[in-house]
Amino acid sequence: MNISKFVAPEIIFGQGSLSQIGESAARIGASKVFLVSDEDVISAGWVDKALHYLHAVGLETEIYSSLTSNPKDFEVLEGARHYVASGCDAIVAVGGGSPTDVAKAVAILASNGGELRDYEGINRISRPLPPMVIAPSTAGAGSEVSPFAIIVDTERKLKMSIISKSLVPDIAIVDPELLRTKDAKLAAATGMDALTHGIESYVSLAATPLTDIHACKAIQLIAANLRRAVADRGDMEANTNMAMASLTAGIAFSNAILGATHAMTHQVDGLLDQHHGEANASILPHVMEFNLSACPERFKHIAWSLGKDVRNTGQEEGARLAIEGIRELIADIGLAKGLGAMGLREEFIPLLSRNALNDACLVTNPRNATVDDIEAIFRKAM
Amino acid sequence: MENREKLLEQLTGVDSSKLNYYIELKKRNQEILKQNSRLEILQQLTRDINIDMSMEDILERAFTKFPQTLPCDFLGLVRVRDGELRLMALMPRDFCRIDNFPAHSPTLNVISNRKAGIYNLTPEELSHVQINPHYPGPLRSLAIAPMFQRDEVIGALIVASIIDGAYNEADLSFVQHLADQLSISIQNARLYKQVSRAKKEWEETFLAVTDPIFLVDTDYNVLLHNNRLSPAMSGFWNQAVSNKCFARLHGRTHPCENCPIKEVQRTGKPVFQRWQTDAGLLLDISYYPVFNEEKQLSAVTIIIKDVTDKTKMEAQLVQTAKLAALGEMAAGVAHELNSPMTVIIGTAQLLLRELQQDAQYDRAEVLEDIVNSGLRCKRIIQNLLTFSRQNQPPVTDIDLNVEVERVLSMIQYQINRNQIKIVEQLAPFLPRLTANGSQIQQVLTNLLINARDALGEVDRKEKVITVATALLVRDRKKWAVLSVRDNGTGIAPENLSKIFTPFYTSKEATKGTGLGLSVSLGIAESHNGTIEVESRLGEGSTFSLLLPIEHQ
Repeated sequence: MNISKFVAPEIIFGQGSLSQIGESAARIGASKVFLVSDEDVISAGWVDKALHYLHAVGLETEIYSSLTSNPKDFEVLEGARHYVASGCDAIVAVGGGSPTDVAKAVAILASNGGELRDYEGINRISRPLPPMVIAPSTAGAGSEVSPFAIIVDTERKLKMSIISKSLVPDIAIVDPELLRTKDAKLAAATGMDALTHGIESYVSLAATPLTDIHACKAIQLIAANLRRAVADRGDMEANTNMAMASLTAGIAFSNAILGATHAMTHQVDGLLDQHHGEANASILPHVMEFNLSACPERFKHIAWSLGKDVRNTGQEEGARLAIEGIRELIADIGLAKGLGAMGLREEFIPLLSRNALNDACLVTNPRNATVDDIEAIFRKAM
Repeated sequence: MENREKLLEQLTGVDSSKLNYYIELKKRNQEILKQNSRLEILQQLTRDINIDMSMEDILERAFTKFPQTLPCDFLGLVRVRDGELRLMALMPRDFCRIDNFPAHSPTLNVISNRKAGIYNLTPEELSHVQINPHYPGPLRSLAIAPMFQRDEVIGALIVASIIDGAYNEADLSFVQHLADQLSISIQNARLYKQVSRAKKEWEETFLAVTDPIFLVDTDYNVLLHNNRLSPAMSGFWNQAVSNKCFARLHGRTHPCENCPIKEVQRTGKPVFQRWQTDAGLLLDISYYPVFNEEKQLSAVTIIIKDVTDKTKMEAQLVQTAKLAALGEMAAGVAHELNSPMTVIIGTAQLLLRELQQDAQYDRAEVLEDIVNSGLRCKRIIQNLLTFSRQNQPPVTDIDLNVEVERVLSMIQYQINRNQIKIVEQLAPFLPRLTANGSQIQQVLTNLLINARDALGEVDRKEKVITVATALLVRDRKKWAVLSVRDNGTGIAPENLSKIFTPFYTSKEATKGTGLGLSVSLGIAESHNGTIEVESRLGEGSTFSLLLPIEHQ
């Protein structure tokens, strides 16, 4: 595969850039906007602000916020019904990964019909989606730039990965101001998610120089700012850097895809309804250990990015410093709990492992993993 | 691993493009625009196609519009006729020839499957289409749609292009729509032709009737007429300002009293009327009701039959028959009287001679009276025989004065009995003329009887009928004039125009038929002559029979 493609939406970045949401929506042809958000974001006041800017350019709006973290298929279905009934012609999401993914999934059902399961996997969407503007309120998911929509199939109790370049929003508005209102735990978990994106896309089989730039930048920014961002919610420099880190990590994984960590955490999230970032924190170091032999030079570079001194270390030794650096960071932000503590029981592991094997994210994992390999990693991560 | 490569390609490869909402929107818009322009064509065709337009014209219109929406180098219409396919119309008109449609031909296929189809064919498969070398060919793709009339396939519409694979399903559905539209047009044209033929037939029938026919609604408006009013009847018609029947037929400003239309409206049954015009025409008028779908009277058909001539002829026939019977009887009587008269005269003359020889002059004088009266009777009998002569040639050379004498010898006594004096003013040396003597006698008899009747009611010291003949030159033509003048009642000016009308009479019911003058006029006219009347009320009348002397 010598030819690759790099896709990124139009991105508006900077403190106060939420003010651009009305103009942006108007620019993509909206006349009535379907605004997806959740209760936390609404109570933080960001939705009112967004509405203000949308109304200011004369757009009508319809709000949909009946959703939870780790969005569920029925919530999407409800949203799609709502969208069609309201006569909206564009979708705007203000919020973290959940509202964003719900917005994307609603867009799929509204324009393509059918059930979400029909679109699970890669490139199953056959018709274009309504235009979308995404303004993330967390620094982690990267969904504002990604071709991913991850929705919980409540019947099968797993996260469906719907992957299609169609899901890349038209405009991403990244305003670090929005990060100010999330709590420390969420800041830690989302930061961990972004870090995982950075690392997995950097070692991905589909990584290219274009994605590497973004992945490395993201890892460096997170290593330098996550601790500060978790410690002080009002540190706008840290917030801005975390927002940029999440964005660049998002751009990186959008084009290089992810790896085994995500293939596994997708299963855990669906089962435990925990924050995705926490599961990542539990699994990532073990997947890194598993992958280490496949691309030690890249792991050594990650160690360097994390601030480790790798000048006089060998390939293997330097690579291991990366895992060490990650573990330290996880410990520092208070996420080193382990899957067992999060509620995962031994007996689920075989099922989760089999499901993980079918997750598209596993395709770009640098080392080929068998069911046994994945089971082993799960056990270590307990 | 192969699977993984494929997945990777899908995830990050160049084909994993974002589907663009706007591009699809644009695509859809273009599709809609195309569809719009097709609808526009269909609509325009529907609007443009006159019902009496030929299929060639219709195809030509479609063909000129097509380039906007559909590649089209050839447009053809195939009809099923007697189980065979025939290329009925095509555009361009000299594009190709198709003498027969082989079993594999797409058109036959479409018609037998009753389903539209797209065909991308090699030139060999279309070898039965002989394309005019002036046009680029061969045809490579065809979209063919069957044309239905109810459930029956009546033909097919062929749209063809020299471009390979020129048509898709949407194009085909458009072609099918067009074919449906053409089917409807064909049906409409056929229906229209039928209707218009029926209409024409009726109109021609209506106009062909020589009697005037009118359709008049219940509000007296003339809806239809066949323009057959004779000049004598069309005076009011041409002058009338309003279109009401009373204005156009009678010159009235208000409906006629006892209007038959009202009667038809009341009874729902036809009404017949005989009507005498001031111009002297006798008309039989029939009023027939016309009902609408609700069984209500919507109009009245009025048929006018001019029976003037017919009635005159009938009267003449009756008169002739009467005269013939009278003549026959007179001949019989005359013949029977002839012998005893001969005996009476002979015997009287014998006796007269004897008395004269015996010089018994007194008695001889008496016998002389008997002989003279006998001779007079014999002359009357002779006239009667002449009058009643059968099989006489209709027209002969006659002396008008002789005819007058004959009539007077028969009728004079009868008239004298009414204390009326007859004065004869016969012109000497009157040229002979060509006429039917007995008919002339009939006219004179008539005029004399009328004169007698006109004198019957007057109280006058001297009642005189003057019978005169004369020669008259008028309009450089010579006329013989036979006039009968009386000094009787005379005729009122307002009645003067009616006297020649059949059945018009001023006499008591038992006395006259009202036919005499009209028959007389008929006779005069048949001799290229006429009858003129001059009359003053209370002073008398003069009736003159004018007969041409020289025939053209």
